[in-house]
Amino acid sequence: MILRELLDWRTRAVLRRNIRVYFLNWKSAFVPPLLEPVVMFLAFGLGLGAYVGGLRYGDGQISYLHYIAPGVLTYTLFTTAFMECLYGSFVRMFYQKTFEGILGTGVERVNIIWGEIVWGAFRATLYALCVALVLLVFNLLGVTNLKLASLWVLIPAGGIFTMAFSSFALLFTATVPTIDHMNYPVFLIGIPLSLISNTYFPIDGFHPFITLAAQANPLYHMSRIFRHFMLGGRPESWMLGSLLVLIAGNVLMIGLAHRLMDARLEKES
Amino acid sequence: MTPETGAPTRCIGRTGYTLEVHELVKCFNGKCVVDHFSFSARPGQILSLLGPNGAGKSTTVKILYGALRPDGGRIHYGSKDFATDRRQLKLCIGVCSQNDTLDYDLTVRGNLTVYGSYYHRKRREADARAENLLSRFHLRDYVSAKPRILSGGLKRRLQIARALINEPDILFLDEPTTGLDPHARRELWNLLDELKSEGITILLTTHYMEEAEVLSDTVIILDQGRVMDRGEPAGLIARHFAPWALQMKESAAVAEWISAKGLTSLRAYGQVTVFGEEEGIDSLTTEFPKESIFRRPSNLEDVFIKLTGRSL
Repeated sequence: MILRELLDWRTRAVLRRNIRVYFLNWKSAFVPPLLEPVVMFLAFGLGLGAYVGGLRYGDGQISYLHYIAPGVLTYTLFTTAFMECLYGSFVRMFYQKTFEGILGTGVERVNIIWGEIVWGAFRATLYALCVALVLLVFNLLGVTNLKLASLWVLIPAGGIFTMAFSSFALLFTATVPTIDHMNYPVFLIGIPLSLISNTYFPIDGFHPFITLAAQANPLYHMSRIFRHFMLGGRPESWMLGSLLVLIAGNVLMIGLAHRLMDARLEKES
Repeated sequence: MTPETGAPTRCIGRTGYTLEVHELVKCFNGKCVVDHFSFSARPGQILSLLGPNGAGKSTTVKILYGALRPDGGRIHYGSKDFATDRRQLKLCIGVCSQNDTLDYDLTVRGNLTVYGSYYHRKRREADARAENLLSRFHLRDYVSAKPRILSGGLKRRLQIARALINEPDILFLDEPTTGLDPHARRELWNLLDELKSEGITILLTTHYMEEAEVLSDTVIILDQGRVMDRGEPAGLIARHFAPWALQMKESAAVAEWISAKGLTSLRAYGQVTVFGEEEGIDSLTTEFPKESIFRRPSNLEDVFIKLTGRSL
C-alpha cells in the first residue's frame, strides 16, 4: 500500500514542488555542492594527505586523496539527504505550514512523506553529481586516477539507497518539539554515524565493537562499494551482504518514517 | 484505473453534493471537542459554524476535508461516503485554513499553479485557471511577487483564490476574516456572496456574529463541541428574542421594572438587555431618562449569550 503511493501522481506533485523551489534558487543551490568537495579535497586530500602519505588498501597502497574521494561522494549523499529532511522538512512542516496547506488539497499525508523522502534522496543525488564533476576535473588535471565510469551506475543506485538517510532524518523531524532540538540528532547520531563509516578514514583497526556497529551502518557499506569500484575493483561476493544491509536500511527507515511522520502531520494540521 | 490511485474523476459540478454529517465525534486526551455533531449543507448554501475558540469549529472542518481522522461518525458528500471515496472527494473540495498556509517559497502565481498540480490538473489547465483567479481576485499586480510582501487582506484573498484552483463544489473557509480590517473583511464578504451565487457550497467558521448573520443561510452555534442551536439567522434570533433590544447598565430598579412588565431580558458583564416589540420597550427610556440606553435590533450575539452564558 505504502509502496504503491511512491509512484502516485500526488507524490510526484509534492516532489515537483520541492524541485521547483530548489531551481528557483539555482545559483545558491549549486555553488555549495561544487565548492564543498573542492575545499575538502584541498584540505584533506592534498593538505592532510601530504602528511598521511599512503594507506594500505587491499593488497596494495593508495594515496589518501584516492582514499577519501569516494568517501566525500558518499558522505555528500548522506549529509545532504539527512540535513534536508531534518531541517528543510521541519521548516516546511512547522514554520511554513506548507504541509498543512497541501493537506487541504487532493494530496494525502503518505504522499507528503514519500515526497520528502524522495526529495531528500534526489537532492543528495544532484549534489553527488556535482562532486563527481569535481572529481572528473581532478582526473583530467592528473591529480587523481579514479575509475569514474562506474559512477554512472553508482550514483543513481546510491541515490535510491539514500532514501534510508532521508527517512532516518524524518524520524527526528517527526519527534523533536522545536528546531533547536535538531542539534541532538546531528551531533549525537549523524556525526558519530559518519565517523564509523569508512568515509574519511579506515576503521579496520578500531575496537571490535566499533567495527561491528559499522556493519549495521548503511553509509559504511555504501562507501565501501563506492571505493571498491572507483579504485578499479570488480564485483565481489561480499557486496551481496552490503547490498542486503542497504536494502534492509531502506525498508526499515522508510517504514518507520511513514509511521512517525503520519502521526506528526496529523498533529500539526 | 481505480479512483484510489489513478487520474481523478471530475467533480460532480455545481448541481451536486449535499454535505451530510452524522454523529461526528473527535476527542483529544479524553475530552471530546466534537461531540456527536450532525448537520447537512445543500449545494449553493453558506453554512456557518459559530462559536468561541475551542468550540470545535476548526476540528470539524479539518475532519471534513480529511486532515484529521474522526473517532466516530459518518460523512457523506451526496451519495459518496468520505470514508471510502475520500481520494476522489478530496479533489472536489477547496480549503482556506485558519493558519496562513501560503507557500512563501513560491510567487503569487506559483502558489496557484503549483496547487493546481495537487489536484492533478494539467499544467496548461492550471495556468489558465490561475490567470482567471488572478484577475478575479485583483492580484494581477503581484503575480511575480512572493507572498511575504502582501498585506493581510491580499494574503487572505490569495489563499481563497488558491482554494478555488480546482473549481471545487464545496469550499471550507476556516475563520477567513480573522485579523482583517473592516474594509478587507467586507471585500471578502462580497467575494463569498459571488461564490455562493455560482452554486458553491460554503462551510464557514467564524467568531464574528455580524459575519455569520450577513453571510449565512444557516448558522450552527457550537460550544465545547456541542450544538447549542441552529437555523437560519433571522429565524434563530426570532425564536429566542423579540425583534428589538435595549441595552443599559444593570441595576435593581431596572430589574424590578423588567419583572413588573414581564419582559424577556439578558444579564451579562454588568449590562442588562431588554427585548420586546418596539413600542413595548420604548417606555423604558421614559422610565429611566438619566440612564444611557442603547437601542438596537436583537442579534445572534444575544442568542449566543443566552445559550452559552457568555459573550464571544
